[in-house]
Amino acid sequence: MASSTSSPVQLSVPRGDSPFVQARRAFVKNRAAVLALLVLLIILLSAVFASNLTTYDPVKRDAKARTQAPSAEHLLGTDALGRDLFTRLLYGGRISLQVGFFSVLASALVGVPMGLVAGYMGGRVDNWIMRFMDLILAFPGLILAIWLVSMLGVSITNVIIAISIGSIPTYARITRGVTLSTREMDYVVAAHSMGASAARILRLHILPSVVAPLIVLVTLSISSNIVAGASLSFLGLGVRPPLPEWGAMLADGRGYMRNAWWMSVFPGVAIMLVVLAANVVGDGLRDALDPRTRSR
Amino acid sequence: MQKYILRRLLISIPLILAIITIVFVMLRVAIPGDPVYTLAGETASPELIEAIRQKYGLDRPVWEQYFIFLGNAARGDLGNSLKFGEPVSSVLAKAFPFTVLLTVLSVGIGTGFGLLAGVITAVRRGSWIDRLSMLIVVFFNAFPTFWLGLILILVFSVGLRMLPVEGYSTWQHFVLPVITLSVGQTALIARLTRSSLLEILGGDYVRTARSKGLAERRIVLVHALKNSLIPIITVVGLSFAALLGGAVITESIFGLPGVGRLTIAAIADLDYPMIQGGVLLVAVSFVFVNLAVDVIYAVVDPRIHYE
Amino acid sequence: MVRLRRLFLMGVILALALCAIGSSVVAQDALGTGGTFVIADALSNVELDPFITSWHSWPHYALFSTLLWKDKELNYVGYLAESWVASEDGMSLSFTLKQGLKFSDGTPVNAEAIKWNLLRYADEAVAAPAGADLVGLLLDVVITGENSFDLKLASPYAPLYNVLASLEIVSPTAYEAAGAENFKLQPVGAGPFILKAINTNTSYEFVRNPDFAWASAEIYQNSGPVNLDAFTIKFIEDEQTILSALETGEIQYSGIPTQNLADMQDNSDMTLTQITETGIRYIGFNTSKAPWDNVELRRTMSYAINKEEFAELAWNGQAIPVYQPLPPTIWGHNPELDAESIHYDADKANSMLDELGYADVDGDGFREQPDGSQWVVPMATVNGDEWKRQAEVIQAQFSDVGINIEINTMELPALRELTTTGTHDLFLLLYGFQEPSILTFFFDSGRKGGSNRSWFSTDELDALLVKADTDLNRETRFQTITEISRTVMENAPWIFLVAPNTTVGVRNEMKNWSFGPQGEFYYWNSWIEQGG
Repeated sequence: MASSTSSPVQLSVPRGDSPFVQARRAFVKNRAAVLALLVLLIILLSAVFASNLTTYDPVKRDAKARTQAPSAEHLLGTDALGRDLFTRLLYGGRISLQVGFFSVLASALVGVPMGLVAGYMGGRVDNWIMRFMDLILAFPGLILAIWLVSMLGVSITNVIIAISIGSIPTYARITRGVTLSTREMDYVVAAHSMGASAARILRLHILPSVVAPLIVLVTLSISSNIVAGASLSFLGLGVRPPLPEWGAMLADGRGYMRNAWWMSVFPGVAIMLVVLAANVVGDGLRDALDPRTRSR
Repeated sequence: MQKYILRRLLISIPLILAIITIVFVMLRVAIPGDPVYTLAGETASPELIEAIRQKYGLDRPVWEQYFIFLGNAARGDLGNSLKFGEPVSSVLAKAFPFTVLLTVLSVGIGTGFGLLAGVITAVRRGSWIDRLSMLIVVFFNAFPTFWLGLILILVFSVGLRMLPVEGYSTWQHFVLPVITLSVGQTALIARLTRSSLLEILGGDYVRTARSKGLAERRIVLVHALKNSLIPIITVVGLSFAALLGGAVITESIFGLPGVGRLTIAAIADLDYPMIQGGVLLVAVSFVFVNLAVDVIYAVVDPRIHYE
Repeated sequence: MVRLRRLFLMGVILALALCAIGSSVVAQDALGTGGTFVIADALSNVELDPFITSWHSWPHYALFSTLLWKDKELNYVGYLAESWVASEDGMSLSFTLKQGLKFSDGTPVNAEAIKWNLLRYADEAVAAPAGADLVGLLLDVVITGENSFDLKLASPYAPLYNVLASLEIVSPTAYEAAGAENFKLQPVGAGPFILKAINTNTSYEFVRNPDFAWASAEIYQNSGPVNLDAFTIKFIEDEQTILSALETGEIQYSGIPTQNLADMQDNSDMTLTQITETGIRYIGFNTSKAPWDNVELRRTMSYAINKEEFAELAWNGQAIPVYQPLPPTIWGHNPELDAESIHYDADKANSMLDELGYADVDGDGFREQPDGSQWVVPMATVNGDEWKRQAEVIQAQFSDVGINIEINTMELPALRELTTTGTHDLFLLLYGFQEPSILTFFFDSGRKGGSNRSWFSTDELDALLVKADTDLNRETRFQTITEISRTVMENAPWIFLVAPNTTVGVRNEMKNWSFGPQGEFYYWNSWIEQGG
């Protein structure tokens, strides 16, 4: 290509920034998304620095301080064993956030490539991969969770594994679906006939189409996985007591909703904040990454 | 297409067989506990436990029990439930319609509202309607079913006395459970629809249609929606399949006699025949739902073809 | 004058007498009828065949009757039986049945029918969980008349009356016609109710048995038929759903979860009654596995448990601390034993642990084993809110003296199986029974690998247990049971915790009910007021 260094006419067309810079700029313009991101960061940091933010012990019981309403001493009240709720929320955030984040990561890392390959290659490969996904889907999640817990014991890792296995097919299926339809689009067929390699097509043409629904799925998954963790705790398959975890706290507080509402409302609010924030950030990301919506 | 469907059905047989086998073995080998202890009671002596074990054929080697089970299953006999004493197939036959009803209602209503919300928020993108609707939709999705269910009961049954707490004899009994289950569905579909629509609304497709002068509403509803359908159908199919396995927690809380509640009772008592029967039923349902979803893919998007 | 006064006096007395008679007549008429009594009890979701099921509860008491019953003073009274006499040596028991007893299929409840039932319970091949006590004990039933028979026993057996008050009598004709396969689906008994419908995994529905007329007069004013029209048992597990259903009146009777007691106290739609369970919660040691075979260690750990705090935190104060194996609600409980038992003493626990070699070497707050390796104590318990609360309090109390408890929750069958293997360590469990003979189930050497979950026995204890079970004299039996309790206390295979109180709420639409001394609900003369 001819060098432009000695060109007499200065074209004022800006050299395009990388897509990521463009996306970041677009994202920053979306105030709601930025706010949501901040909320997530605050929650994350407060979980990490829990020990600096509170002096109470999250597991130590205090018979005299049972089920107290929020007060100056206990900002969010205490639970049935007299433990400070604010403290348990902070420490519990560590576990709940880990569960939400890592289970999604695991599902996506396994499911998306499978879906891409299945959708693009079609034929027998598609069949085998999808039937394997069916096997996982058709397998009763409850039994899988019980088996994992009885085999490997109760721990955060096992909760993450149990939840992520169940979501792999969802990622695979959605990815495959989008891949299937994108593969047939004119520009993809054209690229293929021009000799572009599968990897290139996947990366340049198919992956971008997959990204949008995937972002929605990921952000919704983080929240629904935290909720799934809560349901597992409710069924007795979650983390081992007395570890604090938002879902377990929600389940414990259920019986107290009539007279000690704070025991379940605050963990519920915490979960809800993460869910809302994750979704808004997700929408912002999607809007920012999509060149077509960005230009509006 | 017919060949494809046939091939899929044929392949599903080893699939179902695989699932049954895994569960069969897992129950007896990997999961601790034995139905004998519930059957024998708290004060049982070792002799009584052994006697009961023999009575129910639980002392035979696992592989022997497996082939007995397979042989009977092939003839349509899934054995008798250890807990209820009735044939597993008849117990499941009574419970499945409830689960199907709950599933169809929840997925249907959830998808309906979700599509509506998704379309509105995509069209009115950026406005306060968009923000508010999304907030509401996601808000309700943030709560686990066991919690949302109780709140609904406390507000509508105990507080307002508008709806019954539990049971299944009138349509009112289904209102709260369906609400509990459909909020998650609504959120998922709404966000997915919005996202997919926003993709399309800026694309060439719509520019062409607009230039032809069609009313904007038609553009949105017909063209954009049709192209957004693939991920939506996927998710609807997945939700349908998942709920057919029985919404365990919701059924427990509202006292609905569906498959989910049956499963959890069976697991608690280690009622092996019941668990196996339930797993079989769910596996078969999945096969059909997934197949239906894949067929619908091809119907909706003619460019998709299966080799 | 005097005669007039006397006449007047007689008149007054007569009038008063007439009023008394009249009011009792009126009171009789004032017993209302009607209504469907609905309860929620997931535990009743068991088979209706008393020879198969190991759990006898509401549905069985509704469908079937037994030979004997207990009255409010815990004395045995006749239900199907009119009278009975024990022989001198206690090896024979003669019964006379009431007249006119009928099963709901019309066949008579006579000596032949009772014989069929009892022999079946005693039949080892049938393996009826409820009849386990009779196996090997009941030698024969000798018919002495249409409605009378003698039980021939292998040895005197003190708990026999309790057994006869628990064994449900079924119609032999119906059982033989339906077969053991199907009887549970079409049960026939001589109880106050008849089965109307089985809604699998959802509910049992019963209706009044119009021929029932033999409820014990010592308990029920009206011996039958019952005043209620129908009775339904719903199998709901979720305690918050059950509570909500009680609040709306969809069910009329329910236990109130301890954390919701304060809410229900002000509820004017229901009446609350507190009953203490006939059983306890306890921690068991697997004494067949080291280091739990060391009685000193077991006693030391017993000192670490603060039962009062446990009752406060885990039961919201709704439980009575127990210091012996039997709670106050079971006969055989001796209040004088409490003083001899181990009471909470954290200092003592700490010093004893030090002496035994369990010191905290690395300063992490938890003690290590005498050989220096890490000491983690697994404690198994059942899934569920109630157990989780209790386990957490126990864990916290042990951690105060440096013992690191690891809580393992599992389903009840899994826990039961675990305790039969002898590989477990500690377990947190309960028992519920009406008789002191329960101690045999737990501490007899022959029950290891079965109900003796702590694998504990001594020859001396075995002898005492047999002695108590064969002693028909109430006073001496009480002494023996006290000895047994003392032995268990000293050897500490269990750490006794509490006997929980249950508070039951009954809706005010339901009239004329009462509670028995062991928590039995007397509802056969009750009715539900409509539109209340």
